[in-house]
Amino acid sequence: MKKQFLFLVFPLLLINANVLIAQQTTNWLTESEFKAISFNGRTVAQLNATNGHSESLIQLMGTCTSVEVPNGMRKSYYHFGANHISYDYDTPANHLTSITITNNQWPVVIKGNTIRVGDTETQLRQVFGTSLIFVNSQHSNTRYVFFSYLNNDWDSVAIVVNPGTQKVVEIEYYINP
Amino acid sequence: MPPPNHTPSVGAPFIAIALIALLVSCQSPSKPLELEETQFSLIPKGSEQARAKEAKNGRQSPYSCLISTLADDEADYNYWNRAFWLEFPEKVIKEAKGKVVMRAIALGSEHAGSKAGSWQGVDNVVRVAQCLIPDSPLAVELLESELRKFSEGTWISNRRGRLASPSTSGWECSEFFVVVSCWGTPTSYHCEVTDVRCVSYIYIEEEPIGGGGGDGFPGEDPGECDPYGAEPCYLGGGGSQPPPEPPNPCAGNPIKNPRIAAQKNSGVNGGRFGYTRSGGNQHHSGLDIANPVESPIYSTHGGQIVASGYDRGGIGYYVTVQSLINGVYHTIQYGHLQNSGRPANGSSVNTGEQIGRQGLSGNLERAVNQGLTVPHVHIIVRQRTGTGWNLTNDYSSPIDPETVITTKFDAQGNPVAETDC
Repeated sequence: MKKQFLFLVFPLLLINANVLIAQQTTNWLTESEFKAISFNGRTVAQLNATNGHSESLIQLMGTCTSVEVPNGMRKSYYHFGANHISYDYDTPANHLTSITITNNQWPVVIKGNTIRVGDTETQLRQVFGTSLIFVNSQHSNTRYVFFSYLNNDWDSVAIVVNPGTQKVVEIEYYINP
Repeated sequence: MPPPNHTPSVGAPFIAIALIALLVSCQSPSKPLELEETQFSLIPKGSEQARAKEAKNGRQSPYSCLISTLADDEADYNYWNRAFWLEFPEKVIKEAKGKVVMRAIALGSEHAGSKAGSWQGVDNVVRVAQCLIPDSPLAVELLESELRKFSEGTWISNRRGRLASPSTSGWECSEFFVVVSCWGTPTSYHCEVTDVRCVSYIYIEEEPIGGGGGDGFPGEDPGECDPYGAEPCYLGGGGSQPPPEPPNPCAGNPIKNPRIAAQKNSGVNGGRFGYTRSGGNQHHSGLDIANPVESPIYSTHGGQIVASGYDRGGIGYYVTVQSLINGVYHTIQYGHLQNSGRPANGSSVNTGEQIGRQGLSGNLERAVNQGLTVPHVHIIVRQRTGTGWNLTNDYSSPIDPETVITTKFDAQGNPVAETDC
């Protein structure tokens, strides 16, 4: 009798589960809103327009402190102090692959809201609204706020929050690898 | 309740027909241990039963669990979490000498389906119990048996579907347990996976082996393994003889039974070489092969390690092997590895030799947490076109890795055949 009860109750539990709220991971923007995001005043399109040429990039972003090329790769990381921008030179068109901001010198503007490294979760909710989606990493002690646009697998902006301090520690534009 | 950042992003299939099928299949619960089943119970927090107990005893049990069950309504990802008080047999409490520890146990299957979840770095997980329990191996065993009950009728149904058209042969782990141990206090602690073990195997072949007859499904024939028994079930014809060690991948493959890692929107094509991304700015330079975190990665061809490095904003930790393939030198780069376990630059590797373990390095950790893709090894292949050996000047732009690895994939990203093993 108990055996039957187990089997009978189980589907009911699952049916209940299916009416729970689906998990969302991304704060969706329109494509134009996403492409208008600026990093230290520059959009991804502007950075891509440099075609990864260092002189053009420096003109756009200021003095580059160092350039790093991963061993054997056709890729460069341009460091601007604690922040960096990387380009891939491997494909038909050189392209931006990441922007990583780890200090508060480079503001990021999303939907007209300016955010910086060091901002608090409370500030993020104030500017983006209380429905802002935070995602706890399944793999590390990290909390994320992801922005992207619909039907796009690739381009995203991640705001990385330290769950302990509840402050933004990094803002990154990245392409899904 | 550790760990607090558990956010299952995915779920297991829910197929009512299969549930009915399971009612007549292998499910004949027996006592998993020598302990009386009634001595161990889960009491839902907030339930009348819990309130009655509190009214009677003045307090609740010091042991509790949060059990997360991932589900899949075919349209989106769902999960539920439920909190329970636990009652343990006196024998268990005595064994623990009053010590309470945090343990988490997960249950999963390689056959959980494409939407299966990742948890604590382990993929294909569909059930998780995060608990405060007596510090006793018996307590863990009891939890495992309880979690297995929660598993019935979900991804197993999906596994059945896959078995109907096996595309590969050999032993595969069909269900596994993960034990996560935590240290510290409930407010300050760290957790790590301390045990991942297969609890049932499946042999995929036209002619099942393993003795005992049967059709490859558990418990449908007399004498077949008892899924609630203390011994693991070895599926595929019944009996409980352990299967042989799973073989290494076929020569020319980076992992066993490779499948293309699909992307959330673009699907399998997004994991293939050459797919246009980011509005035409980027062509996918490699082939993404789905691979659970921690799983080994093998060199598809013998050769020499010519580069080992870190690409923070891209493929993370990588290894590049130079190999002679059909008389032409190639480099094969494996990305998103873990930092440790990679061969040193200049060392030689043989075909099928392990060159690292699957990680989430580079941007992969974020993409996985965002639900855009699954853990995968990113493989980039180039041909030597110059007269020198400079990796940036004497090798071509990336070519399709599917031209050099053994397995060919169908439109769904599944292997057409894995041969030569």
